[in-house]
Amino acid sequence: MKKMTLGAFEELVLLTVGVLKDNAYGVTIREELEENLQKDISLGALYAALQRLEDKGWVDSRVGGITEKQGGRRKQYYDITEAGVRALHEVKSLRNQLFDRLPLPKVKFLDL
Amino acid sequence: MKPEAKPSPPRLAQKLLEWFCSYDFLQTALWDLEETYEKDLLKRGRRPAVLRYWKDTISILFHLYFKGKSHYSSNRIAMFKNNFVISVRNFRKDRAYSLMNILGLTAGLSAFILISMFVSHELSYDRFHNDYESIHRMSHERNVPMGSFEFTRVSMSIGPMVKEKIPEVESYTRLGTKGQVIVKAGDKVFYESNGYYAEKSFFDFFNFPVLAGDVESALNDPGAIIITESLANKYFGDTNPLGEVLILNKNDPKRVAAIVKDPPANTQLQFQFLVSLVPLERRGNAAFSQTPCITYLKIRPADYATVVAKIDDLKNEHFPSNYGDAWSEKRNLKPSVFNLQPIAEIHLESRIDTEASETGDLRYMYIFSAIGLVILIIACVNYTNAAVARSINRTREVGVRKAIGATKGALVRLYLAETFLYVLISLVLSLIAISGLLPGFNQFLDKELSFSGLPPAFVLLIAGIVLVITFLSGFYPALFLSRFSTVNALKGKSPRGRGRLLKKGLITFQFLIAQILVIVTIIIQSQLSFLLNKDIGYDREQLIYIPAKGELDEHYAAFKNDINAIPSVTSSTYVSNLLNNGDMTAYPINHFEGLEDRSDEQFWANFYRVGESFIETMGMEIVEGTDFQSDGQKGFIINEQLSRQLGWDDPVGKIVKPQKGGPAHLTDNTIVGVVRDFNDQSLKSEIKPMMMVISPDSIIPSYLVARLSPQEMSRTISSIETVWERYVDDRPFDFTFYDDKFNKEYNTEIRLGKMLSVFAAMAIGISILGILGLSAFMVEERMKEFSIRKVLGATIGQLVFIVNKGFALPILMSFALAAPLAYYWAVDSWLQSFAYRIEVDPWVFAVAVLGSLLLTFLTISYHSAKLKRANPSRYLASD
Repeated sequence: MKKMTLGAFEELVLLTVGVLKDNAYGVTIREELEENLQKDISLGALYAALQRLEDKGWVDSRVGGITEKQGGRRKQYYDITEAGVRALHEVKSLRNQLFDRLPLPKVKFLDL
Repeated sequence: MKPEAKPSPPRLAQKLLEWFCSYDFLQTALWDLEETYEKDLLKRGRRPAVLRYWKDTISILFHLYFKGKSHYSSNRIAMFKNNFVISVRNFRKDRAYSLMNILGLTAGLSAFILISMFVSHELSYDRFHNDYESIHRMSHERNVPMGSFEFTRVSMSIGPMVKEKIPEVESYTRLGTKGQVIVKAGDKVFYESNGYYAEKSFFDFFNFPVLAGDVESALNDPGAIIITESLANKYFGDTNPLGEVLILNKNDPKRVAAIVKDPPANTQLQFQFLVSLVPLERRGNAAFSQTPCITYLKIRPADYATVVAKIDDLKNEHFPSNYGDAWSEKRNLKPSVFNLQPIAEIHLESRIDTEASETGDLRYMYIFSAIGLVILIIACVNYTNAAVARSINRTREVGVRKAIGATKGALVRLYLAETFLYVLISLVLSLIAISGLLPGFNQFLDKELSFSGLPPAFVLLIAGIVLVITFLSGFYPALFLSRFSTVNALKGKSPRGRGRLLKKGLITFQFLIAQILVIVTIIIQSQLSFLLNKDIGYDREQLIYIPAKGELDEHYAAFKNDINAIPSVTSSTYVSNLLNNGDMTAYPINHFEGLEDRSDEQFWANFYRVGESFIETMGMEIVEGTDFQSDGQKGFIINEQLSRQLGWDDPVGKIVKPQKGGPAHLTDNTIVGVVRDFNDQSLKSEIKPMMMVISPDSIIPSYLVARLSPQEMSRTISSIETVWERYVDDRPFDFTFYDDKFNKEYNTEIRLGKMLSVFAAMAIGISILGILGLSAFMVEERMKEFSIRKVLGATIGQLVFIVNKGFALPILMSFALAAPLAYYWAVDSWLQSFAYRIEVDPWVFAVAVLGSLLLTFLTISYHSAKLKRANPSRYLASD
């Protein structure tokens, strides 16, 4: 099977889902992302990412918040799965590895 | 307590989502959307909330269409995708047909969009000022026994007076025209003609962005000048112009105190510089009869009628003689009035000859809008006709779809999607075409149209038009196809004969429009060529004029002699006013010999002070009496019109005395001759009474007029320039041909004529394209019949005739309708606006109908080759 890849935006969404713990659904995820990224994010793009993540098995979804007066509206909550955390970790360590190999003069100005 | 109703999210967006999302996903999306919406409503207000709702909705639909997994979307998305795939395949299958459709729609859309751009530009004039709705321009209509005169300018004192007396007038601002001036800075000298005297309130009225300097103090300071960016570049290049000096008319230095942006194209006030109105005011020409000022008033639109009535009262109270209603009534005249016109209406609705910039015409805007729509409709009709005709090729497809369960609605959607694809492709092509055509179009119209200059609402217009023409052209074919009965359709039988009446009707309609356009175009073009070639009482060819204001002082006789000495100058003279320039000096005359009992009546005549060989140079003709005698005898020459109005049979030798303020230098007031009437005003108006007199030595006339011999004109002109430079050292040489000047007056009409010709040609072209496609299908459809005829010995000519017969009737019918409609429009409204007009010839109509018949015949005969080649056995074999 082809190795599943984690895109940059997907990674951010996945992280945010994880960070939000039990309260990750469309609105909260978007708000968190918009706050951190300082830009508008459309629901379409968010759903696209979430649905891809779900297909890959990195998030689970459950339904909540159904109420009578909302006329069947529901919240779709997302939780990060074990596989999801593993994927994140993999990406992160790959990055760290590469970053650590940057020649010293290139990172000097960061003033670490 | 009633709970406050919360504004609900946009219903249409919600509907769209319901349509395209699967149930589960819909509920999720709606929750998120609504929660966001409510938060936005509290935090940011209704508009941003609704906007975000829509943006999200569209982004979700986009995602579903292009990337979404099927379990999130309803089947409609899949059908939608499939419809497009099918459309693209059909498009490819029959390229000739598709391209023809695209071509027609593209032409229609291009014409429509270009016209909309033009019309929306014309409608946008002077709407960018804050408060533009309350700015009104005061004009003046003066009715005297000699006719009706309209002026854009009024007395200097009127503005302050109405402000003081009428509380509804919030404020006023006045502009004085500066006329042509010589502007000098360093070694740069040019004529500039767009300058105004303006007062402090100018910038309260009009929004012209200031780039540098203080405009208010500048307009109070007689030594200051405000210039536009382009003028600053022209005279000072890259150096900072603030504080530099411009010398006007050689002796009037002005310090540049402010720079403003160039006025946009859509304003009447095309100024290049402004100077303070204060000197004009100080000169003390506040007298009521002096009218130097364009005056703008700010009044609330609601007060309009009140203010007009109050101005009328003021007029009657303060200027009863000459202006008052009682005065006019006594003489059986229409009352003289002050008119107030909203500034945004001036460009298209003013009928005054002497507007500050070239005006448009609201009627032409209606006409062009109608033409744009009509061409678009012709293109839609083509599509409809072609699609219905082609449906015979698709009966099997429809049969199969129906057999496997397609509903009527699904089929309608499929064919609409197909139409939509065509329209979309055409839109893209037409936008490309327009961006290519725009520079030429702009040059031709003398406008600066651009996509970026369009209001944002224009996008909505385009989107709306795309939807409308999709439905207009696609709906009937879609309905037609979806109605086929499944069994017959599977057998490949299409319902014959149905839709034929509609087809004929639509062709009739197309040709009706095309023929109206042709007839109207021919009438307008012939009226124009009539105007441009009309004998106007003087010979305007090879005639030039040179402004010579005050410059030549005592040398002007010598200057004229030197010019006359140039062999290729036939003759030359001076004149005080230009002909066909919109300017005239009208003097009241109160003494005519033998008419003393009518001396209170006040006659007005247009006055010319001329040089001695004026009649000869202009190519005018003396019909009675003599020309001015060069032995020093002075007197008047009048025109036939004046003589007619006074009821004189034998005017020569009679004595005339102008009122005070007229030409006082005359020692001899006898009429020496009568000149044949010449048109010195627009041919839209009748010839006015006129008197001319030899200019006294003390007043230097404004223009030198010279008639050149037709050979080597440019050599002659440079010789004149040499003479000019000998006498005038610091003023540039400037000249104009009289016939250019004359033609300029009809620019609007000339453009109208050309544009109409282009669009009429387009309308016909698109209709012919339709006929071409339609007849191709007709030939195809009847091939069996034609094969039998061929076998039985019919000639190709006979077959072509049969095909033609089907189209002749609609064309003749459309002509029967087109002729009266075109005649009614062209004769009744347009031609009536000209005092001199053509009689409409019947041949115009013959040209239209014969032309259409001939074109159709030629188009259809194109198929004769196919008929000739066709092997009957091929078409007859299957039965």
